[in-house]
Amino acid sequence: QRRQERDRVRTALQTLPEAQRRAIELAYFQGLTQTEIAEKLGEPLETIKTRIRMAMEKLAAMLPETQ
Amino acid sequence: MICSEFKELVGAYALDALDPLERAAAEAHLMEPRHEGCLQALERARAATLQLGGAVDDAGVPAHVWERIEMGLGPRRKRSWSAPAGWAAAAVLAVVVLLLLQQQGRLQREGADLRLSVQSATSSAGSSQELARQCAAQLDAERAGSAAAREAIALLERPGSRVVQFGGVGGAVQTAFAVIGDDGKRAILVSTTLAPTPERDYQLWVVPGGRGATPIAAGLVGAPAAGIAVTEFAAQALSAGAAALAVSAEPKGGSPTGTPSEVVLLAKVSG
Repeated sequence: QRRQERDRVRTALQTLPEAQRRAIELAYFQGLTQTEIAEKLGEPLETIKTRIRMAMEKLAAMLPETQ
Repeated sequence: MICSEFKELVGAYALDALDPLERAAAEAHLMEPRHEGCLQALERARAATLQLGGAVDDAGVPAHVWERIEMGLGPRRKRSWSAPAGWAAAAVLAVVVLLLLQQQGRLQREGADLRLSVQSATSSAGSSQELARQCAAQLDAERAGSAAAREAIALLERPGSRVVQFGGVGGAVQTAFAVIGDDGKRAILVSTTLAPTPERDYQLWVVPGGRGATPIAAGLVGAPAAGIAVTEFAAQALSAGAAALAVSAEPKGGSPTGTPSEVVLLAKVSG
């Protein structure tokens, strides 16, 4: 069951555009703020905010609370 | 901040990726009485965020959480996980003392009321025996809660004791402090938001130092007395020292796997 759960989450992440997935990975898996992500990637802060917003909207749709 | 603005950043809020000012504004907005879908949006974002950890490993514990502990924690989370210094530490200490003293005061008043109830009930006819039994059980709970609060205050007053503040993991909204003895062999959790439900318990964990360290179960968070949960970490779990303390949400009775199912709070202890 854990493997299925892991695969489901990984699949959801893989469906994101690369730039959005990268922003999510930096925020969640590396613990960076949006500002820190913008600095790290050399991108405008508003761009990062948009990427995270769009990515989270997609993930929320793909990963509804099932437990 | 208005609802549409909150919903724009709710994903980043759930990821704990907002800068401090934005986060404060978002939390202030959440305190407002009326919303247009904000709470639902937050629940959806949190549900997604909590599941992201499942992509990391089979244990269901976000690997970066433990890795960050081993590495001394990353730069950002220090703001909420580290033992605060200077005025911030004093502020945290004041909050803990206030919470504990409030609990003691309430418990003393409620205890007096309960004692009167027990006396009244036991002096009545046999039909009141059940009421007396229930009151006695509540009184026992009150005594236990009061004793735990006294223990926490006593530990806090000992030279060398300190307080660490837990930070939420994965958008968790719970808050807690831990009073830690000078030798690191005792730790008592104080929280106004952690409370077991019929379906869920909160479990304490000690994370020893060293790469690859496995979290050690340290007991379940007890039922709050007067709205404040005060629970001591199991002494044997602290015997080897702690790099961090954690609280996880678990099915009733505690983790079925022996590892944290869903870490909701973390506090760095050493380093």
